[in-house]
Amino acid sequence: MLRQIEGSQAVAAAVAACRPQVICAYPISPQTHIVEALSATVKSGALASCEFINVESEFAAMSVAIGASAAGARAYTATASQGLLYMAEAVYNAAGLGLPIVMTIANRAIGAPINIWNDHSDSMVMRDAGWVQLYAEDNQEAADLHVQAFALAERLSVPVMVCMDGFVLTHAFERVDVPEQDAVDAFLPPYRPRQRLDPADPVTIGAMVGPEAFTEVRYLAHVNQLRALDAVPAIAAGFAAAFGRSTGGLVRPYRVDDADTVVVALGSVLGTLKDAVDELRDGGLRVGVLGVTTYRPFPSAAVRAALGGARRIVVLERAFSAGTGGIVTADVRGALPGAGAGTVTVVAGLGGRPITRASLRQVLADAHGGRLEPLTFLDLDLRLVERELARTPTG
Amino acid sequence: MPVEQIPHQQTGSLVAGNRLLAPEQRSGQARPDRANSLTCGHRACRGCGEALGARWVVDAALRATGNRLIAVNATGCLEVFSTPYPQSAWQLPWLHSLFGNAPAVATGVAAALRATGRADVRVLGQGGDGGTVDIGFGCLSGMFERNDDVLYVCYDNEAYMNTGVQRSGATPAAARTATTQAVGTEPGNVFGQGKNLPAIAMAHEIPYVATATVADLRDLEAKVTRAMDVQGARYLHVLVPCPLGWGSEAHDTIRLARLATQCGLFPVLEAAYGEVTAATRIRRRVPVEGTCAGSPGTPTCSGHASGPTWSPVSRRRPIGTSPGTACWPHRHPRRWPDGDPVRHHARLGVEPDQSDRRLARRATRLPRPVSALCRRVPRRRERP
Repeated sequence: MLRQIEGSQAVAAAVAACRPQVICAYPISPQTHIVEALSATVKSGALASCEFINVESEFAAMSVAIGASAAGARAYTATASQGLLYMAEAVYNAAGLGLPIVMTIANRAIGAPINIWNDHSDSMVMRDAGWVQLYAEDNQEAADLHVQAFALAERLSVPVMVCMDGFVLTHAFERVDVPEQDAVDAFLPPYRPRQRLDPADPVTIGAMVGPEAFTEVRYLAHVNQLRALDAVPAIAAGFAAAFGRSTGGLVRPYRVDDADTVVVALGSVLGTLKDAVDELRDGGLRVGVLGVTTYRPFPSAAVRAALGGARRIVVLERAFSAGTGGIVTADVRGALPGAGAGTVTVVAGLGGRPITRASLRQVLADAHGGRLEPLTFLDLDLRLVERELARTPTG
Repeated sequence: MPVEQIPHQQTGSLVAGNRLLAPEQRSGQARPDRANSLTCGHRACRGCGEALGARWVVDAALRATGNRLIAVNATGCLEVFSTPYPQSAWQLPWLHSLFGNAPAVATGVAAALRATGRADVRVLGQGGDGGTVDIGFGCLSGMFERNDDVLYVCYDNEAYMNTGVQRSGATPAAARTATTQAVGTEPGNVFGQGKNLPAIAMAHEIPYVATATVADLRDLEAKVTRAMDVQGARYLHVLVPCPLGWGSEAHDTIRLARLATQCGLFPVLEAAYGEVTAATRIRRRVPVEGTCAGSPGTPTCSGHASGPTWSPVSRRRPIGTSPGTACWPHRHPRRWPDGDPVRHHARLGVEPDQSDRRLARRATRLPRPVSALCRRVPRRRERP
C-alpha cells in the first residue's frame, strides 16, 4: 500500500508483516521510532503470538534474540552506534551459533565525541562478525530489505543486519509502498529452524570447540556466508516478481557502462550521487555510480564486473579506519585486478555532516581529472584543523 | 526447615540415610528413574561441588517439569567441563551463549516458548558466581525486574575457578585467591566488599529466592521442586565448594559446605516476594576458624583470636559482637563497635591499618544517620 510515511514506521510495518515472534529492544537514537511502533503493534494485538520484551541493555537485547532464535522463534531487534558496540560480543555469538536473527541498524556515529547523527562507523565495526550486511538506499528499499532479510537469514541460517542511515532515512517521510501482509505471507514461509531447543529431541548448542576443529567451524561459516552471494540475487528476483519492484540484490550500477570514473558508495548518499552524476553527464563527463547493497559477504565478482571499464574509481565512505583510511576501499581494491590501482577514498558525511551535491560534483570532477589524493576528507575545515595542529606539540 | 523433617536420628544427619526411609520419602536421586541429566564422562575435577549441585538441580527440575525443560548455561567451569566438542554430558536441550548473558538468553528462550505455543516447557538458567554476581548481574537484574519465567541457579564457589581462582564479587573477606593473595599485612580479599546476591534478588521482590548447599542435597532438591511450582523469576544460590580453588581435599566438599552453614558463613534460607519465609536452623554453631582453613571461605580479621560469627540471614550483619570474638568489618564506619575501626582495634590492642584510618576519617565527615527515621515502605508484587 502506497503511503507517505516515516522511514522508521515503514520499516516497523514491514517487520511486523514478517510476523516476528520475539522482538526485543533497548532504545537508542535514531532507532527508537522503529521499536516504538513495533511495541504498539504488538500491544494492540495486531501481531498474533509475538512477545515484545523491553530489555535493560543492547547486550541483553541481542542475548534475548539469541535465546529466542535458538528456541525456534523468529527474532528481531534494532539498534545503532554505541548500542551495536555494547552488544558486540553477542553479535559475534549469534553468527557463530548460526541463528537467523534480523537486526536493523539505524546507522549512527560512534563517540567520543558523542554524536547522534549518521555515519557508518557502527556497522563497519561489525563487518567481520559473520552477519550478512545489507545497506538501504532509500526507505522503500529499507522496508523491502527487511522482508528479504528474513527470507535470506532463514534460508542460510545466518543473521542479517539491515543498515539504514540514521535520521537521513529513519526520520525522513517519503512515499513508500509498504509490503502488504498477504504478499509477505506468500513470499516468506513460516520459520522452520534447522535445529531448535526441544525437550523431545535434546541438542547441545554452544559447545566448547578446541584447536582440533575451530578452524573447520570458522571455514564452514565462511562457506555458508558466501552462499549469500547466490541467495541474495535469487531472493531479490523473487521479491521483484512478487512485489513488482526491484530492491535489494548485491550491487546497483548506475550509468557505469561507458563511465571513465565510477563512485562506489553505500546507503542513502546514492541518491545525491546519482543526481550529481546526471549533472556531470550533462556536462559531458563520463561518470557513474556503483551502489553496494550487500556489503557482507562482499560481492567481489559483481563489483569487478560493474567496474571493469572504469579507469578511475572513487570509494565514498561514511566511516574510516584511523591510521589507514578507507574500509570499503580495501574490499573494492581486493576485488579488482592489479589490486585496484587508481582507486581513491573520499571520506564524507561523518557524524551527520551533509554531503551536498555541489561537493560531490566538485570531487567527481577532480577525480575525473585525476586530481584527487588517495585519501580525501570531503569538506574538511582546514582552518580549524591547522589551528589545532599548530597548538598540538609534536613528537 | 522447609524440607520435611525426617526422623532418622540414627544417622545424626538430615542428609544421608535414604535406605532408612520409606520409598516415597527418598530423594529423587535414589530412584532408578532419575534423569541423570548431567551424565558421567564429563571433565569436572574430583570432588567438584558444582557438578554435584548441577546434577541434583537439573534432575530435580526435570522431574518437576516432566522432562519439559530447557537449560541455558553461562560460560564457566560447568559449561567447559560438560561440553568439550564433540561430546556433551547433557541429557536435556542445552544452550550456551556467553559469560554474561545467560539470564537474558533464558528470557529469550522463555519468550520463544510462549510465542510458539510451548509454554509448558520451562527454562532453567545456570552459571557460576562470577557469571551471576559480576558479569551477568545486569542481565540477571533485568530478568528479575521483568519477572520472566526463569529459574536461575547460581553455583557459588566464591571465585573465578575456571580461569584459575581469581576474586569475584562473591569472594568472602580475607579469602586467598590468585588476585587477592595473602601478601603483606592483608590476609587476602579486602574486608567490607562483596555482594550478597540472595539479598539483592530478594530486593527485586521476585516470587521465590532460596539458598542451599551441596551438603544438604535433599534440601536442594526440595527447593528446586518448589521453585518449579512457581511462575515468574526465581533465584537459587547454591554453595558449591571447589577443591581446586579452595585448596581442600576432594573428599571434604560436602563437609566444607556443611561447616559453612553451621558456622553461619552461608545462611540457608527461602524467601517469597522479598521476605524470608524459612531459614535452616544452625543446630551446633561452630567457629569459622579451623573449619574452613585454607579455603576462600576463611574470613579472619588479622590480629583477632577468633573469627567472627555470622548472622544466618545476612553476611553483613554480625551477631555476637563481644570484643575478641567478632569483628565483622563494616564498610560503614558507624557500624563498628566503639564508634569506628581505629578505636575498636585500639581497644583490642591491634594496630589500626590504613583502611581503618580511612574509614575513621570518613566517620567524622558523615552526617547523622537518618535510617532510623526513614522507614522503607515495601512495594510488593501481587501475590498469586
